[in-house]
Amino acid sequence: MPGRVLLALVKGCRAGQAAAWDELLERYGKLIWSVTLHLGARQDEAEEVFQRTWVAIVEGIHSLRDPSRLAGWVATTARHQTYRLFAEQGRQRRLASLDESDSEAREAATTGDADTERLERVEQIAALHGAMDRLDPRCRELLELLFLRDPPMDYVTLSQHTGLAVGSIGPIRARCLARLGKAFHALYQSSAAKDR
Amino acid sequence: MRHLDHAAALALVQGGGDDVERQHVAVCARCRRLAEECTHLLAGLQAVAEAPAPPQRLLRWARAYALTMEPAPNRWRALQLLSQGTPLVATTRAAARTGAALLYGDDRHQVDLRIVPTRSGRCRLHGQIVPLASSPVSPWLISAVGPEGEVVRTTSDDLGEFWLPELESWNGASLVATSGEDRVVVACVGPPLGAGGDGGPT
Repeated sequence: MPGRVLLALVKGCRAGQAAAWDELLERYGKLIWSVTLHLGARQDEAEEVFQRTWVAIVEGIHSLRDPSRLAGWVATTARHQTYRLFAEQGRQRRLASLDESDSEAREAATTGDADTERLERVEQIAALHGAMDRLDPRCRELLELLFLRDPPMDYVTLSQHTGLAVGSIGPIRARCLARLGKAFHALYQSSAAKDR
Repeated sequence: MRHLDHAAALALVQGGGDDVERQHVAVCARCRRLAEECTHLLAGLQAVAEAPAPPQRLLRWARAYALTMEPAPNRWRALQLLSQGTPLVATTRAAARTGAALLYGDDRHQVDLRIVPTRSGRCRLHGQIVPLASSPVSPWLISAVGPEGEVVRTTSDDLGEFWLPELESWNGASLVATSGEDRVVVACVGPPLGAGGDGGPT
């Protein structure tokens, strides 16, 4: 069922449906931004990368083979665009003889000399988004409201919002978290194995 | 004792569970690993929850940009920003500090775009589309498309130059230029600094 949701989302985007693009942006806009910032981009650089990534997504969604891996694809695209920007900057800054220390730091980032921790955090965030995608819509909504909303929704408001009895939210939350955990660990281990 | 499942491990790392489970985790490598994974999961959830969201104007632009695209991808060309000269990184924000000039390009066209802030807090756009091949400059239909649809349109002159008048709703718009089979889309996030703060709704 979650796979069908993503397939419908991708099909909607390909057909130019506004609601589908809104949903895609809602799901992954923050992911793009997070990946870029975690890799060390400044605010203005992150804005540049966000635009480039979005352009690549709008173009690439027509040839995306596996919609179930949408989150991973978005995160990878954002990561590539960030590195591409860093590489361009490194080249241009050398040419312009500007700020050697900053340029060297960027070079290190693009050649993978540093920041394993940052990369791991990026993988973690991407895996979490991918895992959320694998949940059924009810679980996804519940966890979003309980964990990702600012501020998180309390049980009484959540009960009114979803129609669930207050007493049933705790057990459902536990089941949904367990499902998320299984999906997350599978995706995270898979991406870690690919990086090795 | 039986090994913990995901639900029990999650409850444990969130302060739940009982002494028997805690003692079991202390001596069972498999359950300890599961508990560590659950700690990772909760940390990841917290990281995602606390991560800053992109600026609203960027989201408005992204929405407008996606909707200006046609389903058939080979009908248009999205231009990447070039970073020739100054500013080194040609974001709208960076460009705003150095005269609000943006240069876009791909292998077929170059688009020079100048954002001119006005005293009223709006902006005007002066641009030129030049084919990189030796073909003659053809007239372009230029359209600024915002989140609510087309804002304004004009045509380029025989040098490929065009002006768009004061734009009230420029924020979050894309510029779409059409000439025959060619379709050029230029991404512009919002008014430059000084014309509208950080680009909030105009």
